[in-house]
Amino acid sequence: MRPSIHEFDMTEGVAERGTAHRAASTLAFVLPGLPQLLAGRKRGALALGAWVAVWMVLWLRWSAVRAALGGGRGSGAVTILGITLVAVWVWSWRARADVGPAAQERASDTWGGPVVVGVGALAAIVLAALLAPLLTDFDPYVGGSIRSERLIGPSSAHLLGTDRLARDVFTRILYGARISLTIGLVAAGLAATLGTMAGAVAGYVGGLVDSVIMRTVDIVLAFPRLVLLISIVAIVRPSVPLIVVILALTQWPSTARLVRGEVLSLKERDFIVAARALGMSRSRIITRHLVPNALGPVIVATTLGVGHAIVLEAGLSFLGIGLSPSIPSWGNMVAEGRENLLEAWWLSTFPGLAIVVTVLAINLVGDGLRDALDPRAHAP
Amino acid sequence: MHRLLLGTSIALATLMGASACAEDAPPVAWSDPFCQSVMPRVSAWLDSASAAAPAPTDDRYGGTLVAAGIEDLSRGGGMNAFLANDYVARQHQQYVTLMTLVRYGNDLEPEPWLAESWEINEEGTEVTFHLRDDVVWHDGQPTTAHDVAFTYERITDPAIGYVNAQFFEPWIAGEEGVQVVDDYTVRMRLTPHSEYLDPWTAVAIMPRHLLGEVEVEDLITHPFGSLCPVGNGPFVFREHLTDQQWTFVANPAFPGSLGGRPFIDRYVYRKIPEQATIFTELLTGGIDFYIQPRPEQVSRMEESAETVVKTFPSRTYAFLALNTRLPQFADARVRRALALGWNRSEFVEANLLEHGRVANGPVPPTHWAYDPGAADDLDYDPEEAARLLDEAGWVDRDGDGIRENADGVPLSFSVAYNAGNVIRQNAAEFMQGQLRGLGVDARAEAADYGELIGRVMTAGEDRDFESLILAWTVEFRLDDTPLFHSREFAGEAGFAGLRDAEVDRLLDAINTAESREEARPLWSAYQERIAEVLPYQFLYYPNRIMGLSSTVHGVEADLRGEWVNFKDWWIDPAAR
Amino acid sequence: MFVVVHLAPGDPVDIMAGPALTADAAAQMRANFGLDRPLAVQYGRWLAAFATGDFGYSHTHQAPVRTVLASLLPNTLSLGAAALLGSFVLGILIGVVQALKHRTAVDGALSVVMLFFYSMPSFWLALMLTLTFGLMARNVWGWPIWFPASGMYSVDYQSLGSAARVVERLRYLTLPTLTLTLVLTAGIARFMRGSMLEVIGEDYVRTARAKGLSERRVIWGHAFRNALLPIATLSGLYVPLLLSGTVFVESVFGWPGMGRAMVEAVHARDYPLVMAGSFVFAVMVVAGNLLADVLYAAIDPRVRYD
Repeated sequence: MRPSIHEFDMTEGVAERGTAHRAASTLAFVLPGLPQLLAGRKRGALALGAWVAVWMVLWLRWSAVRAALGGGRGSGAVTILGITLVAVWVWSWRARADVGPAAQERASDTWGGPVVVGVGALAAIVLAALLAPLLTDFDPYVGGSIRSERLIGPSSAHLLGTDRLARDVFTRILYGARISLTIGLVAAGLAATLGTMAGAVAGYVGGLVDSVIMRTVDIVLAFPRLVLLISIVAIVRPSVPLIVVILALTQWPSTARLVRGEVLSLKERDFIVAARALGMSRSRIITRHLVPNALGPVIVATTLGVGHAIVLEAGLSFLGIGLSPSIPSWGNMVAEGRENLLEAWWLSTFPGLAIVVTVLAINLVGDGLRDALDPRAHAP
Repeated sequence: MHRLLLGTSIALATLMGASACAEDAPPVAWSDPFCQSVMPRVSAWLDSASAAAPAPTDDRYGGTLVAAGIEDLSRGGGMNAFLANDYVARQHQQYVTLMTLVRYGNDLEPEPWLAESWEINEEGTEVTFHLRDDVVWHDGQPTTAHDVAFTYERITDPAIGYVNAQFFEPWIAGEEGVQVVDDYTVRMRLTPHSEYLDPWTAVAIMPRHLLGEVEVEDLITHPFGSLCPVGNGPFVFREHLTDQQWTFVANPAFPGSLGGRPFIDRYVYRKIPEQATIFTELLTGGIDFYIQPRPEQVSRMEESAETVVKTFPSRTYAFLALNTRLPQFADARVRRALALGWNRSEFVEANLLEHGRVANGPVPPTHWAYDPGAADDLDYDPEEAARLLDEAGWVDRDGDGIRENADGVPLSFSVAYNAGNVIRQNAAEFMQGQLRGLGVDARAEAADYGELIGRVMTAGEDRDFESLILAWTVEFRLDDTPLFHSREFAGEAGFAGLRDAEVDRLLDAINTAESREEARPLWSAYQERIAEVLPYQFLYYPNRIMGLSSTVHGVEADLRGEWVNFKDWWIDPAAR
Repeated sequence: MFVVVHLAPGDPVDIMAGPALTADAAAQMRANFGLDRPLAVQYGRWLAAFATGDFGYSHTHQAPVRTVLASLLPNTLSLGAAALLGSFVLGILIGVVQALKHRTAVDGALSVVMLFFYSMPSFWLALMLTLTFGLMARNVWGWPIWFPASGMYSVDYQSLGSAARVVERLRYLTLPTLTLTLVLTAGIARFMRGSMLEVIGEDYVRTARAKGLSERRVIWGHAFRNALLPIATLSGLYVPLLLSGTVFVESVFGWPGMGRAMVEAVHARDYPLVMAGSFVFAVMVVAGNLLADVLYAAIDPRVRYD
């Protein structure tokens, strides 16, 4: 799995560390990521991809960038562009030494292929979301003339077509990524925090506290998540923050159960017993020793939770109880467009693909992490 | 491995076999004691009536027609005329399984149906109906004047909680209002009204011999409507599977002078909650009648050789109700400015395609009282709108692009609509975009229908909304009293909160007018006045659209509804 | 749950209201539906009735809740059972294949394909399947076998013979089951793969190999059967996932089941149906958990319940 370094060595003629290092430095300067990639480090591909992508944006969309620099729309995006550029370059420069045979050994299998693909796709989507104003000339909320530009199929003017109010679908997908990703990340993060805290306390303290927390967990888990969501959402029309909270509230119990199990088994281990013998406070034991050691499965569950939250948001939109339809979340776009699947297939197909690609990327990462952490773990 | 597969297939086959056999058992609904006593009688009657009926000679007789809509008919009250709150359910009561006393003919004038003839006295206070003597309930009992009197007494009884109570406002309630002269003659009393026959085209007669003993409070929750209705109309109810389908068969004993037995043998109404799925079913031949397709779907149906489209103007108007209790909307000039400030005709053209038109008032153009000249000055005119807002004292005082009044209240409001209604959503968002240019901050806001209605249509002085998009489907006898009369300011439907003496006077005058001729000028004046005070911003009059299989013939739908001549529809013999 | 549903603004009468509803009539309707009393009283009455097996009256279906449940629940159960069966069979097969081809392209590809379906919103997958195997298959490609877009059977079902009925039901069941199956399989396959890998590494499998048994006997006779045991417990835990899934599938395929009815009941403020439905769902989830526990105890001699 590592022929590249040999080819590289052969072009240099001598497989001597100094020469290789010097060449790598030069390369790292011009094309960050390439030397690492050639050395078999898969994350080099990410750096290289980001580097190329940023330059592509600068080159193809220079007019938008210039307008943004002149104080127009998207000055924040330009900053992000700059930060990405610098970050990739700095990483590559600092990692330029990591190209020798020793590094290959180190790097050989921390990240499997699917994980790198997943991370790469996710990075691309996040970057696209952040750079949205630079990537498109249209506004996600205001369309063109609804007489002449409504429901046009994919074309050169509108890459992915236009919707019923003559808005550009590509633009709405880009801006929608911001909303959908935020919902997924924050909801899963919140659920992980809540669940970890509750689970750790329940598992370590035990007794009445444990009973109260775990009975709550049991009750919440006794209802299918969707039914619970539906009843809550019927009371209030969710805004973005609210839907995040609601998704987190229905997600945390499973994390809590997971963490409690881990904590129960860790509790009797020597190092915790030792910590207790040393007179450490409960809260310190929980935060310093238990939680970090139980974190592996939580990270996996959370990663998968991000994808789940995005899909659920779409499901709620489909049932007509999701975010206000004027918000261009992916779920809203798919749900709205499905009615016209036969007349204007692009309305729901492209946002649908966006969801699938994103969630697939997230799940690939989660799956890979799980393989690394626990090969016999439970179902997603 | 093979055993696993084998086991799986055996399990699956057993499952299917069990459920296949289970279908022969009587429907779950019949577990109700009322249904247990009634349904066998219907089956027995149907058998004997079919045996007695002559064999059909015309090749138009026969076949099954399948219609599909997104709601179960029971959602709108089923076949219970005391609880008919939904257009499609009411259509089935009127034209499929039950009968009304009179019905509107092709010329939209009342014509005989269950009543053969009728007369009204000089003063307009007593109507006598002479009923046909050849109509029988589907369990064999004749339909008589006692059924009519029963229906009359119950529906005018305040204890029943009838959803369209306003229909019977002019009629004398209870036993004093109705008198059975003989088995087929019934007399009713009312305060004179120009449209006195209208309620009797809308409310189907209910069977006294089945429901006469039921407490009046229990009538709207009785299993009759959805589990085992017994009608007297052209189709006999056979089965209702919850959330799945209703099955009706042709009534072999339907009176010959009313057209006799319907052509279609069997009619199935299916509930399919997803419009995209209904459309697919129509295109793949699974159903014959897609009840209300979306305007965008029309062209595809027109192109296909297997489907045809029929459209007709409806009795519906969509509007944006403004809560005139709020300072933003208290001034009629502001309301007028909002109406002129965005291009409704561009919106209607793009969203309803050719299946609707811009609305300017609460009387749909299909109604006899419609006056096209009453509100012809509401076309898009942003300059005039801006002028009106300036004149009313709403100008941008703090440079944020939004107008404020002298007290600093910004001209800002939410435009609520029920989530899932795409046309209304588009209207709200389009309005938001265009009014923004006028310095008005209108924010489109989706809400769950139940939540929205709960907030808005709750009796009380104050209402928790700013503006919302809704639609009314009006009856032929139009009465806007619950909407705009100041007496109904705190009533359920009085959410716009209009208090206008002129509107009150006109509404009262219309309700006491004794003929259409007398009412017509009042209606014109009313429409003009509404166009001035604009408690609603009128949006559009949508058409009804029907997606039909091209094997269905004889469909003549108009604003009376899709099912108006349903008994005359027939299916291509080749396609049965 | 009762309070949550009642907190939602709006009540059934509001939803039925039209322009001809007067204030008096609305109040009377509330009284007749039993909605005019304070919330606590309504809850008390509901609870008392519920304890005696009276689930109340569903105003959206114009029928007693018991009747509604009795006609909808079997439909959800048959769809759920078919999907459970389908996803376990498929999941187990894929899991075994993956374990046998561990760390090869086949393993990776299967993982990605499974995850692909798992990542899809199920309603969207359902619509895509309908378009492909229903509309396109019949109208565009002219396939001899295509699948109907909705319902449990055609309107002519009653006139068919028993064999034809089974065939027809299978045909109508295919797409809804396939949708649920594709979404659920990923998890099961993954679990099976892990379980199988673990078993293959165990001593007795190595012993069996050493004894010179054919590879086929080793895999199917020993490894597979032992790897299957832990999977059995998983079936009970899949109940909530399945129930959530049916909500979407029932909507798209017009399948008259509980999932869709619950959503509509919440929308229409049909309190008794929401309450009874939640109760039934909770019972099913608990029963699933119980089943998982019992299976686990039956399979694993180390676990004993006292």
